[in-house]
Amino acid sequence: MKRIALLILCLLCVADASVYSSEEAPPRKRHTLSDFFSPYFEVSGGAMNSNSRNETASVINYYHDLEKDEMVYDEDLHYNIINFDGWTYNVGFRAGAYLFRFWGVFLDNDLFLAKGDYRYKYYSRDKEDFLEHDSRLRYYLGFGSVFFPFNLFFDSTSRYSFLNGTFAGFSLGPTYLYGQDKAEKKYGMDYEDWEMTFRFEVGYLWEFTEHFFVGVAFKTVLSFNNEEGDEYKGGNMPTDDVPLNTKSFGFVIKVVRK
Amino acid sequence: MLSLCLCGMSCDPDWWADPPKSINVLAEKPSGVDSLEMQVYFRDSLLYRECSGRLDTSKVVFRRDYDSLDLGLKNELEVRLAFYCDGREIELPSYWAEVDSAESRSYYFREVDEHKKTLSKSFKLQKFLSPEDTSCGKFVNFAVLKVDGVVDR
Repeated sequence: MKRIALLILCLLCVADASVYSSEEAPPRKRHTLSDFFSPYFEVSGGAMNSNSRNETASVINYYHDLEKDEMVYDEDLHYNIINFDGWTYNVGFRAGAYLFRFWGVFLDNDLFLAKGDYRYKYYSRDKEDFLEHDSRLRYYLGFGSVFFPFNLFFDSTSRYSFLNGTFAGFSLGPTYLYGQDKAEKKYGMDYEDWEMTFRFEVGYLWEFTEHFFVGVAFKTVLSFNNEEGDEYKGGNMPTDDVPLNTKSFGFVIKVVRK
Repeated sequence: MLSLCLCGMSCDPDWWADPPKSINVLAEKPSGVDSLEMQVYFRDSLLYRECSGRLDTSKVVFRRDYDSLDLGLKNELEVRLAFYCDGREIELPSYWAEVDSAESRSYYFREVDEHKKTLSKSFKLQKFLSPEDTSCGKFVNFAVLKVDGVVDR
């Protein structure tokens, strides 16, 4: 009896197995290169509120008071001061690759028109300053990355589109400042003509067509430059502090093509 | 050619590892005077005397390796400067430049206006050295700056 029961159980098992083996297995999704890689192009434009503070810290901390014709000590003396307050309008272009459905790497180009008030002072103790309304160009060339963190949580086989959703990005590189020599020609003040720039952005991208996406991003640009004395650049010269020179905040609208 | 250069470098390894230490004194004529004279004394003996106009330059430079000075316990160079303007000689107070036999050291005598001529952090202000006789000008910003290392321009 026990043997018969075991035989029936075995037959049931075989029957059950044959039912499934006779069915077709679901077709296996084959990954293609485009699942992991696609070209990335972006054109953007926007406006940012921007302000710059460029100045050189005094080494001797003495100021020649021309009225009294005597040297005056000032612990916090700065010279060759230029302040910019205004807006920057930019158009940008990025080219790179989009990898693993959540990560983009690119070369970043941006052309800025910095329009606003440029104020100059010889020394921080001067009461008088010079004001110019001017528009100047800045060019940024950097290398950066953009992440779509929420795309990480979706299965790569899903129909969820690339590039759709919230993103965060950064890039870094030099910004070249054109027109800095105007102050040298006019007032005899000397400034660095480039800054090291870090850029951060957070935004959202919507799928417009299969290949085109449109988006908006909040952007922060922070730039630093190291205004060094130009006299005696010996090997043992201590490096100067690197001050934060430019801060910009604003929005950009972008069109992305994959 | 490269091997010759390498041979030349290796022939005098001390020079590369430890170049000769020197004392350097530079003085630059203020724009308001016709010329500047610098005299350098070491233990009351004159080592150097030069006038800015004679070399058709606004600067005079004194340089001496420590090896060529007979250094003792206390070593100071006396630097005497004088301005010439309108045929008058205006003497400045003497400055005693300390000699440090361990490292090269430079003293720079000049007018200081950082906005016109930027200074690097290597320069340390020692004192202002304006003349008592102000008939050619007060020169309140004529200063002595010390630099660790060699300044040659």
